[in-house]
Amino acid sequence: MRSSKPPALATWLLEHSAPGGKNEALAGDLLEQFSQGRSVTWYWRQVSVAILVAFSKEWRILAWAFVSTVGWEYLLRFWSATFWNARWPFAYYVFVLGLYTAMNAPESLPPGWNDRYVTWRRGWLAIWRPLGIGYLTTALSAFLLMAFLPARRHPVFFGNVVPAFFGLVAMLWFAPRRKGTAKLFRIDPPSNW
Amino acid sequence: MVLLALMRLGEDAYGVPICREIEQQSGRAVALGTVYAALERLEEKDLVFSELGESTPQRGGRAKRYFRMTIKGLREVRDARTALINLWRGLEQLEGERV
Repeated sequence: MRSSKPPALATWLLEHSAPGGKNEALAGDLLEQFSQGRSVTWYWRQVSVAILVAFSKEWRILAWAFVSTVGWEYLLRFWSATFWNARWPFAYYVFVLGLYTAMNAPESLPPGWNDRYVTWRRGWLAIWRPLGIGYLTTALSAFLLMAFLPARRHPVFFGNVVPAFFGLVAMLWFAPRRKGTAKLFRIDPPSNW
Repeated sequence: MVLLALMRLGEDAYGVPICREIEQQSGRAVALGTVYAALERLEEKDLVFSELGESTPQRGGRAKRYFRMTIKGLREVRDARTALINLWRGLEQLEGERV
């Protein structure tokens, strides 16, 4: 027997796969069709096509968001390594510590500072970890907001799964790029990278 | 095809009837998502415009999005028809075929 309600996950994915609630009318149309006897399989197929279409329409902006996030990450690494090499720990501490710890790399601190920081860090760990997880996603969301607002009629919906997905991909890129940054900018990586 | 479906439907042109009209006239299954994508492209080119209509419980409280053709869109359809007629004219392979 067919369920009287369409799959909630499919509806949620559909409504969050395009900025500005653009898929709201489409979601309504699919519900209308479903209530007239369409199958669950049909519903999922329609949602899948709609999500693929949304991705294919926005691929340029998504690709640019991804590239800019990765680029920013490389620059940040270069910047911090340069400060390290120039032995300018105060600037390093002030400007980079927040972002570095947010990205879960406290081991990159100068040796003497590590112990003090570890003690201090325990209390703040609960704050920094979510910041670390949210860092790239937030950067991507901000980028997408700037990219979408001038050209689009609808405001960006922040709970969009699209920037979340690209944030996740960017975070997966994070670890192996430490040595890549050093190679790219021809600098000596700190030993604890 | 989408523009012609809009013309045929008149005032009642929202996602479901547009999709149904295209399916009936072309004999092919069409995904609603692709129809909306086409409509959004046409809207960006000012060939159609849309407005939100009523919402019903059947639609989970979501409003219908009605599409209408603009003057520019109508002109485009006329131009496309003229171009197609010119292209079809004189094709030997099609002569003698009944539509």
